[in-house]
Amino acid sequence: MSTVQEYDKLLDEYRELQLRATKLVNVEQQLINTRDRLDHELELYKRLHAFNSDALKESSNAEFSSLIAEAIVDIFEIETSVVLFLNKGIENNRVLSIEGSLFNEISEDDIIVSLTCLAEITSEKKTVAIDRKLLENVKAFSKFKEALFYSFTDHELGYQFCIGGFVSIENAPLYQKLEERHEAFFGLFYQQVQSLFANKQKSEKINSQISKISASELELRKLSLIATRTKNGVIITDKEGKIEWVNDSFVKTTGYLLSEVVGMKPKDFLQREGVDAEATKKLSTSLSNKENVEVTIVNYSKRGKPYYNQLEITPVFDDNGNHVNFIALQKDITAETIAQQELLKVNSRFEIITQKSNIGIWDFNHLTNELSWSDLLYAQYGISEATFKGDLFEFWKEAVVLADRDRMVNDLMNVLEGKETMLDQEFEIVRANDKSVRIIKGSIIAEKDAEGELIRLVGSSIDITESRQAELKLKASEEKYRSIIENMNLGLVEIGKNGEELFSNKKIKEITSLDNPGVLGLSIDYEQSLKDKINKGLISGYRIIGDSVFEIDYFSKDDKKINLLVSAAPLLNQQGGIDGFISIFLDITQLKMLQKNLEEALHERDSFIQIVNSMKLFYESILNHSPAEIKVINPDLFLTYANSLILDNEIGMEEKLGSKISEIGEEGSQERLRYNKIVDKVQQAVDLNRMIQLEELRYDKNGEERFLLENILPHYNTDGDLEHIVISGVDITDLKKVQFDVLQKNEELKKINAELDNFVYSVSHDLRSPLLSIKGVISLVLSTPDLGEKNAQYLKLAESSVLRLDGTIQEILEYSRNARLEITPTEFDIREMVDLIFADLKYASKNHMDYILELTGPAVVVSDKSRMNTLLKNLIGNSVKYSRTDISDSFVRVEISSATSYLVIKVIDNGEGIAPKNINKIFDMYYRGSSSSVGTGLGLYICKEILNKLNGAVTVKSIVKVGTTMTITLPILKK
Amino acid sequence: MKRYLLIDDDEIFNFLHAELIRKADNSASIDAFTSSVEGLNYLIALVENNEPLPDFLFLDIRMPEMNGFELLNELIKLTSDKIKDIKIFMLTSSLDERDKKTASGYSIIKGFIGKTFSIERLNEIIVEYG
Repeated sequence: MSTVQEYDKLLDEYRELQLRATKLVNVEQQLINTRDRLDHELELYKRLHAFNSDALKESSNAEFSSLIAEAIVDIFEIETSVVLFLNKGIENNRVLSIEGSLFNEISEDDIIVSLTCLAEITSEKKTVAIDRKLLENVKAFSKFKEALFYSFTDHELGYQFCIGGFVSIENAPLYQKLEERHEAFFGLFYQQVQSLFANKQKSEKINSQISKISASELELRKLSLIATRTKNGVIITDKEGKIEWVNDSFVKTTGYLLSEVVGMKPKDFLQREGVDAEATKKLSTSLSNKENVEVTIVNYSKRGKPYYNQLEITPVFDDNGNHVNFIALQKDITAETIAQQELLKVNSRFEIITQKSNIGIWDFNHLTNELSWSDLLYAQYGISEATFKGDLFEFWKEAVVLADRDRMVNDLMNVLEGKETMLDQEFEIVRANDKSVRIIKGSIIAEKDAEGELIRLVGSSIDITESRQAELKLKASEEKYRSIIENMNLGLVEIGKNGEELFSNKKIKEITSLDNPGVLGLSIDYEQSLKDKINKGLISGYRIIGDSVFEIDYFSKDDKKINLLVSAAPLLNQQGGIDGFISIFLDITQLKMLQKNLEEALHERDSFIQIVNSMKLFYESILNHSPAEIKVINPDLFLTYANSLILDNEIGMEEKLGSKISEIGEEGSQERLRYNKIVDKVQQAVDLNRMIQLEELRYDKNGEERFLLENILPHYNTDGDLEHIVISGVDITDLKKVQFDVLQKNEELKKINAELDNFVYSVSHDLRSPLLSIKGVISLVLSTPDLGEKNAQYLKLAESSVLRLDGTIQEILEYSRNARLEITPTEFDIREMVDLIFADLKYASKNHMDYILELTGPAVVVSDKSRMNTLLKNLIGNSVKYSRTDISDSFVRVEISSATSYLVIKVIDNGEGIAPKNINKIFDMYYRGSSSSVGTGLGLYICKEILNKLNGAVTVKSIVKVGTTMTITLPILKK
Repeated sequence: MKRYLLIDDDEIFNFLHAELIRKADNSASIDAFTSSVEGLNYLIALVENNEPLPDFLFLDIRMPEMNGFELLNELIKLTSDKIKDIKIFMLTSSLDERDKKTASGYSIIKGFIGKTFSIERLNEIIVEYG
């Protein structure tokens, strides 16, 4: 039993679980549905947003409306959308855009009528979803299932908008059913459209001002192009010396990209601590004094390579003398500088060579045993005669290094003892003052009398330490030096005293292409020897460059001019005598060329600066003569520039320059509020990367209220970095006033016109209405069977009077309409029009007539429909009115031939005809064909007036009792 | 038996038109209002009480208080498609193009008649829509 119970219990639990599972599934499904719905809504928002940004870019009304139409289909996934802008003031000023195929069969006029009808029925309600029942009441929409629709009349702009999306019954299953959220989104969408349109209208009005501004922007671009193209590096910094812009050449020279250096000071990365301290100091002094400065300074490229930078920095001031920027031009002159230094080194080498040896002399009197030293000898040993005390010989012995001392004393003894009469020695001493070891070359000569007795010893002493060391070094690296001399870039010629060539290196042979370049070597009087060479035709000229440095013009064998820099020095022997001369030549042809290039480059730079300056003046003058108030702010919102107009107009503008625009004016003041608004717009302009407009009210210096339209334009450099923001304000006060006046006048005119229109409407109704009721009553009485013949006759007289009065009223109305209303070209079916006129006349006329219409060409034409109707009605009506009663085959035939540009209409009848004498009168005012005719005699006059308005012409051919042909020629109007 | 409703502020027209209708259709049942508001209320009351609606409505355009089109808009708004079987003809003495244009948008408007309408036109209408 217990098993059964347990089984039941398990079964219950199982069912319970199943139930829960089902519930869970339901909940899950609900969640999924909700999620899907939310996803869809998000998608709608995204599309709405996309539309918004696209719509901002569109310029014309047509583009704008077609974009809206597309957006409706895209966003709401609806079958067909329609957008209508109707300018209430002007009949044919309208824009209609349709996306989708639902309206393909319907004419544009019908769509517009239907949309305005729907707008009337829904009477601009907030509810935008429309169901089938309501749609059925509009003829063109009776096949539609549902719609989203919104209409609005902007009275300020005089526009009516209708936007809508429609789904047909046929295709309804393919589309989502419209729900509340569609409505909500459509409402949002509509608000967007409305505000976009309003903005667009406003922006159109000031397009001309924008183009002015963009023209000056173009000039600025040109300027920056010049700066970009120059070979010299250009750096533009702000007034604190922080880089705002550099050109491509700068990037090439330094290896730094613009993005890396913006905001940095050039000295922080181009210079190295301690290098070129003097130039650095000069630079920073000049910059802090805001002076022009030109320096050559060692800079370092990004890769650490030093280069000589010839730098010229010009501070830029605005009109008011405020320092705004620095412009720096830099040129890498490393190559030139190295060449110059090479030259200097050559010169210093000569100095060493020309240094004279110092010879010290001593004298020993054998008879008196006196030893005396010359001053130079004292100096060689590091002592002075004045302060020396003691025995010179003993001092000397001590001074000689131990290794040489015995030998030296020995030598001396040999001379004293007469074993030698002349002796050369070389030994080392320790110099007394600095304890340095010096090499001394000495010689001793013994002077003897006739008996051969020693009288005195004379000795010379030269400190050859330096030359020996040099000699040693030279010796040690003789090969090396030889090869250096041979291969060095300097030509070297050594000549002897008499001009014979002692040595010449490879380079000089190469430069001069001479086998004996010694002929070019300079001797004794350098200038004289140069003159000799000119006489000999070896060189063509020379210039003195410096002390024993000349530039000579030499023509090589192939007649190429070579500029040589030559420096000469005597070749001294150890005794200080001249053995010959060394001339060193440097081929400076290249250098000269470089120098020339350099000069050209400098010239180019000068003219560039000139261009920049004149451009700057030019732009400033443009800016100052601009009809706009222009101010410029930097990305940190500091006011960096204001043109003269704004300085003249805005109160306290001078003080505002250089300050942050978000901090202008007192906290909470009108001024602060105004500038904060500008700050907001600047932010917006930067975010959107395009021009933003702002209309604002400001009081000028005279306390007058001025309306300004500010165009806020962010300016980006070629790298896409924000450089500054140009705010250009146009005074639109007058424009506003004129606009206001025009609008007001227009309003008045519209009002007057509307009043007239209503007056005509009222007259036509109120005058005709009782007349027509009289006519109705008369015909009712006339149809009474027991009316006497006489009574009937009276009533008919009354009736004809009524008809005549009605005719008069109609003609007056037609005349006033033609005179007052604008021509409104409309597309219509002229066949239908003539048929309707025929039908009306058939009812009105008692005579039997044939009504014939012959049409060649398209039936649908474009003309002024209402005027055409009046015209045809009058002409055809005349044919009926003046038909002959004595014949039974009366007819009126209308022949219409319509072509693309002209419409020819002939109205032909076989009626009474017009007597030749009257033909010229029929178009006159108040002329009537017969006294019995109904009307005022205005009919054909009105026709002529209409033809005048429509640029048409009429010709009349008529024969009495045969008939009349009226031929009308009319240009087809353009829609 | 056809039901006719005339709404025109001019009593003479209502009288004339009624006479003409009777001539064309001797079994006609005719109601007439000289006030558009009253006419509208009458029609709404018919719809609300599910009473038979007129077959023809001859509606003058120019009337004080509420003109013919305004009356029609209200009627459509309040009764939606319930009045779609009424054949509505707009009456006018004004010959104004604008009125014709406006009327062409409404599917419920079957025609446009200049006052006073002729018995021939009335016969045509009754034949076509009767």
